[in-house]
Amino acid sequence: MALPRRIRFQDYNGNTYITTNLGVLKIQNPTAQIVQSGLPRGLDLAVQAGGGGSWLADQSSVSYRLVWGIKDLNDNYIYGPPSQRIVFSNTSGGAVSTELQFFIPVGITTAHFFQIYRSHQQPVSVGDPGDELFLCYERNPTNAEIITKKVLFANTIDLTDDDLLGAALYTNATQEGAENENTQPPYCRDVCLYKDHVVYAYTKLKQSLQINMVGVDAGMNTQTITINGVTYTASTAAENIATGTFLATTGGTVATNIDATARSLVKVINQYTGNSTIYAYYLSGFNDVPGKIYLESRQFGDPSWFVIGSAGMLKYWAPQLALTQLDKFTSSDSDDPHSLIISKFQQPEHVPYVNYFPVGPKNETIQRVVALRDSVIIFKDYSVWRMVGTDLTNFQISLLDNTVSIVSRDSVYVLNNMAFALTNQGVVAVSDNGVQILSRQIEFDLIADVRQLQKLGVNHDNVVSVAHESERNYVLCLQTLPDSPLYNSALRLCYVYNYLTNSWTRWYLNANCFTIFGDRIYYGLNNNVGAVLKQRNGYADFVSGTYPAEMEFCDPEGTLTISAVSPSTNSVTATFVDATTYNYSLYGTPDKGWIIFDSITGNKYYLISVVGITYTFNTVSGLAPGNYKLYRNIKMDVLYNLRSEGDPFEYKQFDEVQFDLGTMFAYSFDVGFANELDKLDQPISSYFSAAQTAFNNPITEYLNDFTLSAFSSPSYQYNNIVRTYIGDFVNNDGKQYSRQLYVQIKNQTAGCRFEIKGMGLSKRSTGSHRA
Amino acid sequence: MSDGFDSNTKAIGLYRHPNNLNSPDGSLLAADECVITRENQIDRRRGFSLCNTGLPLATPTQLFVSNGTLFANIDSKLYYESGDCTWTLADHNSSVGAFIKNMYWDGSKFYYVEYPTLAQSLHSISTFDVANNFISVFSGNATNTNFSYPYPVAANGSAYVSQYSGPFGFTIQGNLLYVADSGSSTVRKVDKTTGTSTTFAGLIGTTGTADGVGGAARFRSVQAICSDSTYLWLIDIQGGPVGLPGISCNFRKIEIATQTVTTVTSPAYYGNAGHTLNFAGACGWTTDGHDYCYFTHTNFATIGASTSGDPDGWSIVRVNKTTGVVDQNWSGVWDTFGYANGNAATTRYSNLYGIWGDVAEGYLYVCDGRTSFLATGNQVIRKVSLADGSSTLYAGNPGVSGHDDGIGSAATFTSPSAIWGDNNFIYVADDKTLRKINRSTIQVTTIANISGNGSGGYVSYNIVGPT
Repeated sequence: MALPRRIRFQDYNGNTYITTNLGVLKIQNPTAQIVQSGLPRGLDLAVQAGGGGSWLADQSSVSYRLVWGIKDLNDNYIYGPPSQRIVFSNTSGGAVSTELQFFIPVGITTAHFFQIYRSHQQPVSVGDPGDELFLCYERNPTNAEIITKKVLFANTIDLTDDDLLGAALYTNATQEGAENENTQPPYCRDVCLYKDHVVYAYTKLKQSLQINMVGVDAGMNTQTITINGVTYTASTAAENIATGTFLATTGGTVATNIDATARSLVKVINQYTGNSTIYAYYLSGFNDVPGKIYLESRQFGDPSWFVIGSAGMLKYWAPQLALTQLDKFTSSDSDDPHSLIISKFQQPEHVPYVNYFPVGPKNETIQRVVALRDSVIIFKDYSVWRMVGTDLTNFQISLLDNTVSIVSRDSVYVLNNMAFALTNQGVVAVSDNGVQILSRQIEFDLIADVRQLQKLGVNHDNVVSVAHESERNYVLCLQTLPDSPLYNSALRLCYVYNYLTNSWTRWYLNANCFTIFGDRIYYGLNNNVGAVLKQRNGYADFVSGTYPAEMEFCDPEGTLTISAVSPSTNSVTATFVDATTYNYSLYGTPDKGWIIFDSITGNKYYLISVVGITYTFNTVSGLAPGNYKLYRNIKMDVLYNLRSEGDPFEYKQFDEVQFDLGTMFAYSFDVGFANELDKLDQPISSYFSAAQTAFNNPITEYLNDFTLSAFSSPSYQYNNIVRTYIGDFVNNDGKQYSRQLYVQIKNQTAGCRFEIKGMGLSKRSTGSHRA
Repeated sequence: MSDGFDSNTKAIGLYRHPNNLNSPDGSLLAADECVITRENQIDRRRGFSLCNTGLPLATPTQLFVSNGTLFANIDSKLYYESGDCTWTLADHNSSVGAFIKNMYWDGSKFYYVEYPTLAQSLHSISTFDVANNFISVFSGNATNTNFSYPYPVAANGSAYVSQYSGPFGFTIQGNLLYVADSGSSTVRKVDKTTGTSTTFAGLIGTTGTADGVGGAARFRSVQAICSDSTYLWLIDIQGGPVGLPGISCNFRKIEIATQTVTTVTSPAYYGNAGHTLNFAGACGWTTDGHDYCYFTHTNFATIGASTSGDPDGWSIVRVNKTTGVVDQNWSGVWDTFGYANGNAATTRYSNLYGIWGDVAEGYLYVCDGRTSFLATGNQVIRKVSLADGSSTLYAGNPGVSGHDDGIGSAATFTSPSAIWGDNNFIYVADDKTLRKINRSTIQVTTIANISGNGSGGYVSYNIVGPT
């Protein structure tokens, strides 16, 4: 059994359509009932003379069909497919009117309405009265009819004269045609909107099976047919819906006997209370071979079922039924991994299955479909396809690239009119022009990550993504790797790509799903604590005098309960409770760089260290026993590539580094150095280690002009150029004299933007190539 | 000398591995928790705050925006952000299913009545068909909604003509439902196949205490009913407006075969005698099939009476069917609430409600802690020995509210109000959800979300992605 995929969704006409294991459901508004999209087909329409009128002349025939409709909560009119056509002939010797009766399928409410369409009458001698039908009757079912699931003859009387018939049925040959009936959106794995058509991908239909009755005689009496475990018994005496007994008619011709018996079976299947899973439709039309019965599950997503018969029942069917399950009597849902089925223009719930477009080979599954402005990009297992065109008459599908295999269907997101995705070639952007590789700069790690993830058996759903148009970012989150010190099977590392700067950064968000709302990223935490996280927004969240904009540079806060304050040591005795009461280990426990933000005074208190329950801050002035919000920091860490400053083999004296810093409220920041000698035996993975062993001297170099003590009262800094000394041999950090130099800068102060606009090194040439 | 900020100080082309020989001099090798806004400029990324008030303890599987509203798919349910970071279960829009008073599972569907004094209660017998996601009114005029009090006028007839007036409870014997129709002062009989109702005992609209046969008997306000194969056992509330909580109750019985109504004891129970408002109404009511009936009740002494009223109703009360003798401290203590398991004297409950007994097993199962406007209860299911009144925790985490499924105490309940069981499962109506407890494993599973618009309702979908 395959694992459920994430639901996909598409807004249109005020509704949102979501893909589920029950088919496509519709959200009309947050508080309204979520309903199945589309409407079911009319069932069991029957006609008889009655009602008191006299519009139908003697020896005349008419055709009828029934259609269900509803005006949904967003004022869209939805119509279902018409019922099977039924022909009524008046041979009573006088003019009559007609009454109609039918069964109400599951899902119909008093908010729905039914429409009955009728042909113009014509003499019986002419034969088939045709299928050009016009509206003759319409109303909503009553609550009583909903409960009994039946509209009775006495309550549905057609008194409409031919001259007063109304609108034409949309499936008339002179209208859209029978092939364009409004079948429900199919069960599907993905959905998108293109040129005002909703595209449903990787579809399957309701389980269905056609059976054909080819004979009836007295021998059918007491024999049974069992459909999906529900047994129906034939009786030559009488039909009894309550017991699942259908009438085997034997008094007429062969054809009329089959016709009457099959219709009775259809009615009993639909109305027998023991059957809650299958509907039956009588397919045989006027002047058609009788006995064709179409069985269909009532809902999408049902497992397969089968039909068997008792020993005496088998011979009445072609192919012959069996006592046990046979493939040919086993239902199918037309599971189609390479299919697109497309709705009518601006009618997402009207989806004629004739609008079927296969994409490449059937054995290669469609993983995602996303719409760009002028094409639909279709990601299959091992190739990328594109559908172009403007409407159903000219949609065309062609192969775009067969060298790209998608790794994660949840990595697909549209940004800047391109479809971004994680593939075997790394992150790619697919546009109308082809496939462009974006992750060349990081693929040494990314592809290794991908391969390890695949080796670990991580499936598509363990990689998630989002695209933030206004930030120009594509965010791709993968599980951390087993050889990472941060490894946790539930922890995710995000690679963030900015398409304007063509740059990659890394974020540590343990995300299981994303979206953008109100120009913020929201993500669902990959942990079973029910946490959704919302990106802070300095402009939107800013409250003058109480909540400064730079507070957007904090991760989730918890509550610090202070029991005692010690001004002499700038410390407090306190306990910390996380924002959630659960294990929220991603952000760790309070440490240097976290801040108390007092929203009443606007004061910030910078945490310097935590020992047990003793929290030391830069100051405790103004703090008192009580509860305060303690905000997590975001540990910004930038490592510049090796700088040679000229001849890479020349031995130089790097005595100072300078930074052009923008807006900041930094308490302190750390700068570290490493040279070409460190690189060789220090793999990048050690970058994550707590001791920072990538550098001979742990990164504790404070800027000479920017020391911890200088920021005892953190202040607003803007466009400061700051510099620091690079240690020499005497100071035992040995980086001042190097051929090449790495520079790393770290800041972990919460509530601090910390912009780096540039970095420069001062260098003195020694003229020597010898260290 | 250095030339200062040279053109090689680029903040583009970020995150190159040291072994990547193509890294240009001075480019960035790695940048964590940053964004690169333009060349040479590195900013810290923006932070995140928690935004999860109202979400269950599960992993969100999808977030999406629908017509300007943020939705989360979590624990197979859809929630939407109804306020700033406040989440509300979607697909629910009324009180339907919030407080199911009495229910019965017949193997394919649930029959239930809602607490009739709620603003949108249906004064009818309803069913919900879990398999077909459909709630329907089984007997009663479905338009009878928005009657808090006075109740609609009762009427007998077919399923669609029948009207009920504050139906507080029902019991099933064979193909018949017997309904405690409090506002009409009658016991109604309903055909389980057709939904047609008739008066079984009492006279619609006429109160009294007379015993007699069928229509000759009089009731005041029958609010609880249970049965064995021979008798219906009734709690007939006295005092207060008809159909609403009163001040005491009579214990009565009806012989099913003869419709003969007999008062076993009157008054059977005052609760905390001596206070003006002490007996509010019966909550749960069941019989052990032998000598006793058991009930739970609320007491309005707890409402706004913090200075003078003594709370009670926090015990399971046992009534002797023959003598009518009441033991109000059969399990727990009537005026002491809390949470404690143990023997009958030391066990403690809070906000007891639905009660169901398995005579063969020898235990009662009670909803301990329906959340009401009075208080948040223990929010658990307790198991009580019929032999000695001792209690144990059966399912739920005491005092912890939630809709989490799990085994035993790993599961959480929000407001368990009605309970019913069979050989394999215990079923609990819990705040618009229907929960099922496997009696072998004590695994609690949510099998339906009950919702509606007050005029019919529906069982809402579990939102699970396609396979």
